[in-house]
Order: sequence, then structure tokens, then C-alpha cells
Amino acid sequence: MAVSRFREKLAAAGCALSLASTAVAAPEDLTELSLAALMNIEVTSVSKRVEPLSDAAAAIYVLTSEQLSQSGARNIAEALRQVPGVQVARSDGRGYAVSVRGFNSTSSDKLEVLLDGRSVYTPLFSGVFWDVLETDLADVERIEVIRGPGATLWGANAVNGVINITTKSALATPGGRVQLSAGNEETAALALRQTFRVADGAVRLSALNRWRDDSVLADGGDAQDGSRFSQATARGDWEKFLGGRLSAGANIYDARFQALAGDTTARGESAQARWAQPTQAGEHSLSIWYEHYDRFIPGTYQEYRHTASLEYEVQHALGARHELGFGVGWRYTQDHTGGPPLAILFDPADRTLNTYSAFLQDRWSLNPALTLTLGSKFEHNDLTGIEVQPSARLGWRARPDVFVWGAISRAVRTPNRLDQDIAIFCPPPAGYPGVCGPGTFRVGNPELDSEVVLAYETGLRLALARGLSADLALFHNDYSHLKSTEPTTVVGAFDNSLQGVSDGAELSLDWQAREQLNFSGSYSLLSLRTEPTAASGDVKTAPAINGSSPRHQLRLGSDYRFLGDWEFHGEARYLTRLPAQKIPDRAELGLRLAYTPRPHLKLSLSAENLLHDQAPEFGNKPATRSELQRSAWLSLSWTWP
Amino acid sequence: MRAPGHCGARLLLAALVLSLALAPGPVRAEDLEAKLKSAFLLNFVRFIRFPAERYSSPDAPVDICVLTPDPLAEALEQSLAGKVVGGHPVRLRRGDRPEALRDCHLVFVGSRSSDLLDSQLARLAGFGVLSVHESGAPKSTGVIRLYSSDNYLRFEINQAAAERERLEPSAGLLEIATRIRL
Repeated sequence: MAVSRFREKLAAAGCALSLASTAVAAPEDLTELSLAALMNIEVTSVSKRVEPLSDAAAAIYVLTSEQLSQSGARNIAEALRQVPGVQVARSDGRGYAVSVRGFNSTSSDKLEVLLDGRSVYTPLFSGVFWDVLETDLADVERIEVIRGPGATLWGANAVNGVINITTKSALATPGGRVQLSAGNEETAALALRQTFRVADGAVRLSALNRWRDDSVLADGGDAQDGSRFSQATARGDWEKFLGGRLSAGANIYDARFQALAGDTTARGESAQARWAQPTQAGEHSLSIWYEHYDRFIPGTYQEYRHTASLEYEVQHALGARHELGFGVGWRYTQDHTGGPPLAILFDPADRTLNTYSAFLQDRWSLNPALTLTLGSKFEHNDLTGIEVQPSARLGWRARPDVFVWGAISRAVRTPNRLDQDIAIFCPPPAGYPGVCGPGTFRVGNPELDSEVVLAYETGLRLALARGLSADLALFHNDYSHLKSTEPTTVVGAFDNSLQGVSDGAELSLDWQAREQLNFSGSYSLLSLRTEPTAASGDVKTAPAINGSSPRHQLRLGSDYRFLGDWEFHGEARYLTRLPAQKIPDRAELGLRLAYTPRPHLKLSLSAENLLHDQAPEFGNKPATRSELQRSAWLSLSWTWP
Repeated sequence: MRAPGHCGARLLLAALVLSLALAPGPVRAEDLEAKLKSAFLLNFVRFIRFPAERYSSPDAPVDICVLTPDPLAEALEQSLAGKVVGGHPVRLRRGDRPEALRDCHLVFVGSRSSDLLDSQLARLAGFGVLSVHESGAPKSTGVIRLYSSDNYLRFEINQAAAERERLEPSAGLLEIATRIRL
């Protein structure tokens, strides 16, 4: 857990600054950092500036491939449990509720999530189908998590955070690898990859298959939510392609999720390419991606969707003090949904939506220690017209080992298909007794407007002493026009009649006690208070929002390498209750032991949820929700050159 | 709703005022890169075991060498001064011919020309030398290749070359390295 290399990075940045300034300051020493830490120091070639992440004027945390490997996390959502300030709760055998700075739900809609530059939240409800966001974590280079708005660069939906997943270049994974896992909950998993040299570059082919066992109900009964997920992925990288660098990828998956009412099926394909070329004063790049998926829940809902996106970006240094960023983009999404007798309908059943966007940003070095970043995103979408999302960020390296930042941003969550068009079909002759009589009832509101946040943030990063570093972020968010469900019909209708504020703090500490021994810890405090406006009759939504994210989250982790080829990873978490989900205060423990008998062979034994035979994490119906069981799995990985 | 907090604005103002008083010097990317590379080299020596006969005594120096001319030599000199690895004091040596550096533990070969690099690496092969080079593509004769990926420094260990030179990288080092066999 979470050896926070990011903290070391800031220590390193501090040291770099001190070395380069006057000889008076005692230089901390790069040579005292671990190799893993050195590998996380960024040397930006663009405009020949040093841009260590620790100089980012935002609450940012990076999960490195080393952390992913040490933690033994099995999928992306599980890996995010290590990140300070992120709320992760597993809702059943396969699904997750993931959010940053509150508003957690299985359909959380205030996060931007990208996988190699491709946005993976669905335009259906602006959330992520975490059950199909899978990739072999051994292929992942890093996961960057920005807490707070990132809309100026990333656009609508980056209201409370951005999760940016980057896989390794195919050039960095020569040879092949196979990993086999077996356990009591994660019944079996097989991941296989092989990289081929292709025309001066490399292409990596990966396959992943995963079978999960059913989870259990509170009374010990079988929740019947087992699953099977299969995926094939390709990524190719060429360092010299038309005078630039080309990275291209493709992905195809197929999943079946068991359910009492009939199995849910999900399938999808995607392809993407990014070409970047250095210029005299920076870089320009062109990105294109396409995704198709379909998902079918028998009796409930059906969706086919195609999404395509095209973006062009320029980074350009203007003199010694200004770095300009500029970009334009277009995104197209088209869907077909099913009609009655499915319970969830959309009116119209098929819809095409376009979003056009542009951003402009200036990173202005006021002096060597102080940087002001001003920028805005401008978006036009078919549902709410033009949206402006500006931000101002100030970063100040007060001392070689102290970095202070502050930011003010405005971000919006634009309405989605669900917000505007969803309807409930209550079948004749009786409808759903106690809910609705027969007929179709529209819940979506075509007039629904964007949710808006004004965010005020500040943060501090410190290298406290040798190997010990701290990162603190404070925020105050002001939300308006939040979506409410007004009780004007038997099923309710959406409106923008909630408002709210949140205050919070996120602290993370990292201590590299010895080369082989690391301790990390994080604490986050969240006070989220939403409420209906005077015009609203919605008394249910606000308490549900307020009570679905823990007020306090505490995490302690340690990694230890010993006897040369053994490693230990331990992680303990404590989260306070979720009143709206009827989840009590809870503590959890996970352990992992890995042994590398030969350089190409690694064996590991992992266990999680050790403190309970079974316990729920999310879902407000205690009798019917899935609970997580104590689980253990054995894993073997073999690499070849 | 509450009025927006003033805290953010106050902080920005305070930071702005304070910054006028304090201004560390600028860092150049090349400086950082050189220091980073130096730190990588030192770590390679830390985590690779050399054949016992490469040290004449438990406190004999470990020789980190640079094939000159190379801009890294200067940064190495600053970074490595006074360092000790496993009881062996680090000694920096320079030389303009591979043959003169065959008794070094580590030799950094910074040549950018592929042909020259091939020739220099070949002349170091077979002497138990940990050769470190930078190039766009792996070389069968080099043991470690330093390269940058998305602005981060990465390294690749050629296990066949390491075995040939009887060098034993630690499991931890192999774990974070890219491994090849050429």
C-alpha cells in the first residue's frame, strides 16, 4: 500500500530546486532516493522545464505500477482504495460505487475517468460501468487521481475529480507474461500478454479472463451474483511515425453477470490512437477514439451505444514565462434503447448528441517559485448549450521542501440521457403495486439544467524529514442546481432544486523508513450538506446524498521487502458509517505476501476483508444486498523475455 | 447556500505577497536529468552484486566510470562525492577509451551514435563490467539501457548480458526494471 512515490517525488523536486539555487541551502540528495522514487521524477522535455508532479497546483495522487504490483489489487476500482480522498465501496459481486469528495453511488456522476485518453464514463448516466472497466494491472503504468474540479482541461463531468489511467507503452513491456490466480471469491483469473516488435515499434497483445463467485446475503443465503468477464486488448507504440510518436490501442470485451431475474450481458469494443509531434516550442497532438457497447438487463433495460471523439491539442511555450495550452474537440454519441415491456425506457428511444469543445490555458511563471495557471474550457452540448468552466490556480514553491497551492474553479455536470429522457414503464394490468399503476411515467426532465460547483481549494506539500513527507488538501465546494426528484408524479420527476456545500480535508503521509520499508497513511474528512431549495418538495434525495459517503476515512499501509526476494504488503482501513446505506462504522484489513524465487517467477498469497466473515459495503436494502466475504487468493506470474 | 469562502482568495493574496520576498533560483531540466542519471547509476551499483574477485578487499573502492567526453561526468562528480556502497567508497574515474575502463565496476557510455556505441559496448563485454548506455533501442552487448518514457527515466536490464558478465541484479531491481534477453 501505497508507497506514495508521489511524496518522494516532491522531496526530490525540493532537492532539485535547492541544488540549483544557491550553495547556501544544504542540498538534499537525489542519490538517497530509491530507484522507484527516481523513476517517478518527471523531466519534461516540453520547453525544457522541470515539471515534477509535486509542483501541480491541485490535489493529485499517483498510483505507480510498483504500488499496483505491491498491493496485488485485482482491478482498477480495488486499486483506487489506496488513494487518499477516494470513496470506494463494492455494491455486489461485481459492481462498485466510486466517488471523490462525496456523492457516492453506484451511478456516481461527477467524475471524469479516462483510460489511455479515452473517456470511459457513459453518456447514459455520466457514470462508469466499473464492472467492465478492467485491464490487467500489470499493464498499467500509473493511475493519476486529481481530487477537485478538472473541468478546465477535461471538460464537463470532471466536477469532483479526474481518474486518469495510463497503460504502459508496448515498447516498455518486451517479451511475455502470464498470471494465474485462484481463490475462494475471485474464483479464477488468467491474464496473458505477449509483445511483438513491429516495424520499429512494438505491439502488445493481452487477454484477460476472470470468474467470480457469488457473494452472500445478510442471512447467509447465496446472492447469485457471480460473473464472468473476458477481454482482449492490443496496444502499439511507435516512437517515429510521421515525425512524431504514435500510440494506438484496441479493446474488446464480453461479460455475463448472474442475477436472479436473468443474467445481465455486456459487450463492447473500442479503438483509439494518439499521435504527438514535438514542435519548436512544445508539442501538438491529435487523438481519436471510438467505442461501442451494449448492455442488456432482462426485463429492465437495454442499450446500444456508439461514441466517437476527436481532439487536437497544442502546447506552446511563449517566451520563458508562458506556456500556452490550446485544444479543440468534438464528441459524438448515439444510442438505441429498448421499448416496453422493459421497465426502464428512454423517450425518445434513440438519440444522437454532439459536444463541441475548446480550451485555452496559460501557465504563467510569475517568478521562478510562483506559477499562475489560468484557463477555461468552453463547451457546447445539445442539451444545455454553451458551458464555461474556468479555473485559476496558483502554485508557490515557498522553500525547497515546501509547496503551497490554491485554486478557484467552476465546473458543471451537464445533463445526460437519463436526466432528461428516462421513463418508467409500469406494465398492465396492475403496474408495480405500491409504486405505480399501469402506464408509462416520465421521470426525466427535458428542461433539466447543468449542476454547478464553485470549488475553493488549497494545499500544502512538505518534505518533513529524511524519507517523511506530507500532503494536505483543504476544500470548500459550493453546489447549485443539483438534481432533485420532485414528488410531482407517482414516480417523481427530475428538477434542479437541490443545493449544498461540502468542506473537507485530505491528509496523506508517506515514510520511506528504509530502502526496503515503507509506511503510508491517509485520513480524509468530508462534511457534505445538501438540502432542497425552498421551491423543492424533494425530502429524500439530500439525506441519501449526505449519508452515502463516509465522514471519516483512515488508511494505514506498509510495504516491506525482506530476505532479498520476499515482500509483504499490509493495509488497514477504517471508515465511518453510511446512514443512508445502513452501513455501520467499519474496519477492514488486507494482507499480501509475495515471493520471487527466480527473477521471472513470482508467487503471492493475498487476503482481504480479514476482519469479518461477511460484511456489506453499499446498498440500502439490508435484506437483499450483497455482502463481501473474507477472501484469499493465490497468484502465480511468469515472465519471459 | 453559504457565501463562498474567502479563505481561497486570502491564501492566493498571501502567497503572492510572500513570494515577492522569496525566490529560489530556477532549475534547468538538463541539471535535473543529469542528477537523476547519477542517482540511477549509484543505485545500480547498490543493487547489483559483482563477482567477489572484483573487489580486492572489503573496503576497496567501487569504480564508477564515464567514457568521456560526456556531460554527465561533472554531475556524477558532484553527486557521488563521499558516497559509500556496501562498505566500498565510490570512486569516479574518467577515460576516453573503453579498454582503459575494463577494470571499472560500472561504465557509463553516453555515446549517441549507434555505431560508436556498438563498438564501445563490444569492447567492454566480457570483463565483468556493468555497462550502462542510453539509446533508442536495446543493444545485445550492453547490460543496462537507460531510456526515457513519457518524460520519466526508465531502465532495461539485458539479462543475457548480465549473466555473461556474471553480474547478479537483486530481485527488487529486476522487479522494477524492464527485462530483456538479447
